[in-house]
Amino acid sequence: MTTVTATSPGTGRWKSPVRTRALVTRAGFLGPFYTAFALFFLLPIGFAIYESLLSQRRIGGVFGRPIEVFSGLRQFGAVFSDPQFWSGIKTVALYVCIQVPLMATVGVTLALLLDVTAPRLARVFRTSYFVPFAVSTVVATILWGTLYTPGSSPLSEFHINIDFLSHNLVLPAIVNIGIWEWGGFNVVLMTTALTSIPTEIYDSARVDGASRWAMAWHIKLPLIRPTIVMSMVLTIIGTMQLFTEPQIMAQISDSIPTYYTPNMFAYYQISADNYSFAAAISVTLALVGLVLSFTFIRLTRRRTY
Amino acid sequence: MPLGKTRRRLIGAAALIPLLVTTPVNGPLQSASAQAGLRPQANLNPCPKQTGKVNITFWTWEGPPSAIQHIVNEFNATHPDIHVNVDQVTPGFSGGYEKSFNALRAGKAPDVDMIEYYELPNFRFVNGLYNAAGCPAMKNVAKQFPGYINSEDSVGEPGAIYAVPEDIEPLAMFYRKDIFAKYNLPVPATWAQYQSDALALKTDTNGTVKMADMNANDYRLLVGLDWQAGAMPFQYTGTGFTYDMDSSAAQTVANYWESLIKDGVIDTAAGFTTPPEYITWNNGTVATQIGPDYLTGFFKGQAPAAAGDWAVAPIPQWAAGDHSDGEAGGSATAIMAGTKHPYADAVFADWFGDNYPVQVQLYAGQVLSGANSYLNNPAVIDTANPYFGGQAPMSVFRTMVNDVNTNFQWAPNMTTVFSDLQDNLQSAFNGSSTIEQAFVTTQNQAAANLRSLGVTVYTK
Repeated sequence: MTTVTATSPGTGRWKSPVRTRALVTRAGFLGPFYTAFALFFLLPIGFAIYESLLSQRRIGGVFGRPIEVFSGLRQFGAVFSDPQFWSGIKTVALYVCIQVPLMATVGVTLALLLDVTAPRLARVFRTSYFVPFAVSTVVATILWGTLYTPGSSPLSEFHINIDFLSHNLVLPAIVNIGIWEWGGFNVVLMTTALTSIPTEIYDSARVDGASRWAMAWHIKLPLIRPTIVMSMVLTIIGTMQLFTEPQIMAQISDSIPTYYTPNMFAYYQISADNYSFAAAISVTLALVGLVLSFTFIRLTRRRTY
Repeated sequence: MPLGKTRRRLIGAAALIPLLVTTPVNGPLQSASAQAGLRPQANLNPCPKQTGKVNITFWTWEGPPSAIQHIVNEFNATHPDIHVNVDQVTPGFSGGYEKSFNALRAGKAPDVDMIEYYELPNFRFVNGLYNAAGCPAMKNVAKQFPGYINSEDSVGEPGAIYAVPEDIEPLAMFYRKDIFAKYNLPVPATWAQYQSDALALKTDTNGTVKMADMNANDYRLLVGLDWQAGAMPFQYTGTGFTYDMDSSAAQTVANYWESLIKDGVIDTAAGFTTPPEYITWNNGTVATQIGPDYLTGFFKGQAPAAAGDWAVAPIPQWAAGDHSDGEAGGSATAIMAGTKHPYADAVFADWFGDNYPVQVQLYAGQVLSGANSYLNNPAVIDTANPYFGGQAPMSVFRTMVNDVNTNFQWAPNMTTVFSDLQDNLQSAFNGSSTIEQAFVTTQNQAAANLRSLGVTVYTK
């Protein structure tokens, strides 16, 4: 195989066909990805941004003909001045602040514990933690919803009547569903990171007299730090888009309005025929997510990388 | 020298651009006369008879699915040149309407869709309905159904027919005749009597048996009760729209139920057609249920343990001797904009309205068809229902049909109004607000939404 270097001198006329073939090869491999990226990622985002700059006017009375006109940042003004939007942001902010550290703690703690357990037993536990991941969010919410409803909850057999669907408990109830569903995934993630630590480090630590607790705290945790950070960023992005659980629980709980999360708020604009308002909400949410993720990564960055 | 082929093609394409720019974003152009808003139509939409066999799609959430398929099969068998493909969809109020709105936007709407009466103006608002008044099958619709549901299907446009009625849902009172007999309570004919019955029941049972279930999920019922009280919360005024959700009639209703809640005779943990409510129907912890006729099917399916204990009576009145009622629910078979087979759609919609419950024995006695042929047929109306201890509930509902106030109108953004109302009622029922305040807040939010869509809105 001839390798073509752009600066090879004296190969003038022979360079072009080989380089073209290299370019074509590159395009052939990258092309499908970039086509899909453009079609399913860039195009919808571009359309959403375009849609968020429009608003509706009517000609001919209430049932007249609607037309879309360009209105600049008007929809964004409407979004930022809507108390329902801010209520949704507050709910999701609270959810992020609870869910993200909790999810990381659960994942890391269980992974560390499994790391020092007998391998066969560890595998059984790991699999059982992971099984809920295979359950769809919709099914998980319906399942837990039945357990939460005071009438059908098994707790009522023991005369413990806690209303998990009430105003104060519904958010912790949703957090619980999330931990149950994705906790196992985080455990697997952390375990994979832990297994990539060379075992010589543990040997030398043991020689230095380190206890298992000290090894976990001073060796394992720092070395899987990048994985923990990545997992938390993924959790932030996911939790910000909270939609499915409250959407389904709204059918059994009286404490979930249609604007409970920004995603739900955007969804309900369809029936209000306010597609451009929904687009503005989505764009705002995406920008907030972008800012949050980048800030988080910067804050947790260390000089070593 | 003649233009090259490519250049000619490009110029041809460029000539189409003005068309793309001026076509409204929201779907096919409505006929010119329909733009007039409330003025009667001068020109009807053309409705040519199709040649050959056509396939039309029908979206519905009516159930059970096997029964609906059976009805559709019968239509297909008796109408060889029309084939209906029926699709079961999510109920409109649970997200099905969003699906229909999206489908309209994408140009992929069905030919015929099941839409509740209150939602028809919302669909007309987004130019999603097709006026089929010019279709031969619609000629006798006015005679086939009671006047006011026909006018609901005209959506404020005299002479228009956007949908054909399916069922009719006036309100009545379901009550536990065994509980009323046990505590010697008279069946209330007025709301004042209803309240004193409720208080007596509370004393007699130490508060274990409540008079009614109600919470934020009862938003449609509350609007129906406003309707009964003579309120007109939604009014078309000239080229604009007025919200009047805090009228004196609405306040009477709101304050009445607020006082019942304060009296402690309402179970606020059980909302309209939710599992906690079915539990109260079953185990005798609630004595009445105000509701429309389709609840008869719900009682049978969800409260089997109480079979024979429930009965139906006319809804209590505000003044003794009054005859006034409202509706909560009811759907029509609507013909959607962009359909390519309006003639066939009209034939099916009309046939379905006249035939659907009568054909299916499962359904007889569980819902009140809007068709006059059904309403005026004692053999069907007076059928005893074993669940209700041999009473024929539909004969009670039949008399209520005559009492429904006929000038009630629905807003062009009822989906938003109802979802805002449901949200705001949550505060009312958890004690941080009142029912009246919920209506006022909803009015302001709905007005803001309608204004942002370019309509002139007034609020009273």
